[in-house]
Amino acid sequence: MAEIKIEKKKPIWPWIVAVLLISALVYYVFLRDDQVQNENRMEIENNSSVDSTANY
Amino acid sequence: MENKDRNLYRLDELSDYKVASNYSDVRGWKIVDADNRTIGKIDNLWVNKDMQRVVYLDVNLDKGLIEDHRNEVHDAIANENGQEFIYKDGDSHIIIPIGSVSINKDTKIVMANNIGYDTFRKTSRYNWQHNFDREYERRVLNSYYPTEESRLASESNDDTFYKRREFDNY
Repeated sequence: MAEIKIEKKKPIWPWIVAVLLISALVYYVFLRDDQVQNENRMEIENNSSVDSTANY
Repeated sequence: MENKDRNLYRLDELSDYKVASNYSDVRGWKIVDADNRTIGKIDNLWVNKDMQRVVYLDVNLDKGLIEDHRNEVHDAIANENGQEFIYKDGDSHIIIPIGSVSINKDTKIVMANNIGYDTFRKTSRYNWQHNFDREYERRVLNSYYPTEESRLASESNDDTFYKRREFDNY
């Protein structure tokens, strides 16, 4: 004879929060690091161009 | 209203519930009697929230079966000049206790083992747009299990009403 049980659906919002947190972490670790490096590189380039004119 | 008191709901109504894993969601499956005659299609599942399980299959009866019943009633009226038994449009659903059927997962067919086509044909129907009350449940169970009639009459609360073999495992 048959039996069918039911159960509560697992809520989806913890997954959404987890995805958002991971996305934020990825952004912070990789993209933000790239941005800082680019800014540093630009600063170095600017400084080196000033130095080269100073020799003349 | 009374259904809410009895904690009986259509599974579709409970958006935060689903059929538990390892159990078949038989909605949309065909239901046949023990002789493989088509009774209808399972339209919904009536669940008891306290018990966390299905107690009735909500079956949309096959048109052929309804037509057979209509012809039989018309014959009876013609022969005996009796009172006509009229169903309104939409009175095409019946409930079947879950413990009265077996489920074939491979063929996706549900079989009512001990209830025959003729019994289903004569069983009182209800309109799927409305709920049913405990009295309707008793009437249906009396139709399926006439020998249990006296026992059914005395039990009114969910705890005792659904704890019997027709609802499985009791």
